[in-house]
Amino acid sequence: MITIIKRVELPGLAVAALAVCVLAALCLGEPRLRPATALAALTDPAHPLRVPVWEVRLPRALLGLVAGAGLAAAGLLLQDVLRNPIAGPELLGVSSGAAVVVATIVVLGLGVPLVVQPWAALAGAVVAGALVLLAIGRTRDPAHVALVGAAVSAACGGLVVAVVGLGTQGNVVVLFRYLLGSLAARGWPHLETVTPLVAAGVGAAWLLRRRVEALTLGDDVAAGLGVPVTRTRVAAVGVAALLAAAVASVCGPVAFVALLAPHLARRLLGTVSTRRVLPLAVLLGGLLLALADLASRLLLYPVELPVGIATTLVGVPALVLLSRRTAVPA
Amino acid sequence: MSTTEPPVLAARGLSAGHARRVVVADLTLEVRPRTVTALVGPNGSGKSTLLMTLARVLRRQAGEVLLDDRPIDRLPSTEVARRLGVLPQTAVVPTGATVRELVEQGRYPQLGPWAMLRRHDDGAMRRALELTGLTPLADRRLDSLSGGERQRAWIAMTLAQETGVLLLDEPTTYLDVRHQIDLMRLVEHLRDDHGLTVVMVLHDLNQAARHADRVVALRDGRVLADGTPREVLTSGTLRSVFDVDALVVDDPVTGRPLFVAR
Repeated sequence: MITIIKRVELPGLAVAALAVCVLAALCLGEPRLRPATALAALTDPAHPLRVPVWEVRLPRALLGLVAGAGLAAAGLLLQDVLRNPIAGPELLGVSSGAAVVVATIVVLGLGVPLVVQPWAALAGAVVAGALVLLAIGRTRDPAHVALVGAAVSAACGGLVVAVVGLGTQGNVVVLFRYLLGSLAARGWPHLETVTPLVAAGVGAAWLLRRRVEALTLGDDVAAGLGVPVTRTRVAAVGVAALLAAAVASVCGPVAFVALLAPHLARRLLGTVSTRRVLPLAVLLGGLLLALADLASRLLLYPVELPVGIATTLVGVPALVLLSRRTAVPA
Repeated sequence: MSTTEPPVLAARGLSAGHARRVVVADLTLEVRPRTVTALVGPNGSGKSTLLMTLARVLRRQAGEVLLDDRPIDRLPSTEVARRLGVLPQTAVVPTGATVRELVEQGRYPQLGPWAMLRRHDDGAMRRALELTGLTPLADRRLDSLSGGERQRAWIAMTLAQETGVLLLDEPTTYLDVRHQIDLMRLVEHLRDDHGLTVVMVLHDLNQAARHADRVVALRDGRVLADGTPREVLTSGTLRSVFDVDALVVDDPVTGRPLFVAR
């Protein structure tokens, strides 16, 4: 009975929290607004505060939500399909590989249209991810995979620093964005670029949910249940890479949302079942990133931190806890 | 056991293995409906490889496998999984999953990837839990169960598939004597009252002799002996298959052959 309530109420609570979070994002900052004023500025195109609310704060809040949702779905797919509880696009080099490509495009002014950038990012994501997969060989040890992924991510981070240094000397916003992930200076065009891809990716994750869940029982059991094992794994990893690349092309390699959101959803729901976890994980991913962005805007105001710092500060202790727990043989 | 009925499952000239290594070579085997077949043999003799290839979990290298007289490769994989359930040894216990969630996975082939669970699925899951005596443990986490209870949960998942054929790879491993006997009785019950056909890999020859209608002895990927327990479990076969010098006597309880190593 309790679990039934949980399954209905938790997503409801998450949606309510998301709404509060977006409203707070509209109100807080300089100028600080009352909720009624913010809502008035949203609905009235001629409102004097139209620009900060409608053009700056709203798309940024929504972008955090959409990007976080996409990252959560990517993390859930990777964790379940690789049977690695500490898998995520940031720990497989996928996010930072994508960031290198987009940083290069942006800094060197290569003139690639915004809508094409996610696909270029996907190429970088696939190359970095393939490097990680080649380097780990046949091992399935979660810690080993994460170690190699961290090494490839570090190399990609170095490349980003080099590219940004080559191009515009000391462009801190761009450096932050592609090194750590940031939602600063993102608006409607970025939201419009990433939303259809995230929607498609989350939809694909939903369609794959049962097959992915069967894979958590082992390849042979899944094959015995009639699941096309290799096809499912390739599809799930591909969808995760696309989601991570789309997000990274706009916000950079924001870390730890993909890792944390699925674990949080599992903990709250008391289940590891992929299809049960997916909806709440997606909502929590959006909430986590939107909250982290709010914190990064306000914590040291007027100085703004890149959101990747906030997610990392929360994510690293959580990762340590998770790897301690998975160190016990299953 | 009728020998006139067509086989439910058959291997014709089957070769199988991992990568390029051939483990099972040119093997022919027919499994009659409503029988229990035990595959026995020393470690590395190809028992599991044969079982996994019959289940289409492993890809065959040559020859063919027929399920209900149709080449298994031509059937859609969910169609195969609706007729044939398999419990591999490589099953991974998902951390945190409950018994019920595991058993639910057995309904995957009936649902297809997109559908929802329905009342009939609930019924199948309930029956699977009842048959394995797991109803009181249904909401327990798998990682909190004993090895024996966990093994029964896997069997329950396979039973929830409601297939006519069951392939079990060493199902009695991890079980204490009591649960081994219960499991073997369950297998007989499934054959007698539900008309199931069971093929299982067993390490315990006396278990095979006692509960199987037919014993197939493998060595180096070839069938060395195939027949009723009495035909197969002779001191000659035990020497040629297992390199064991043994005495075979009549089991005073069942009248089946009983093997005693010398």
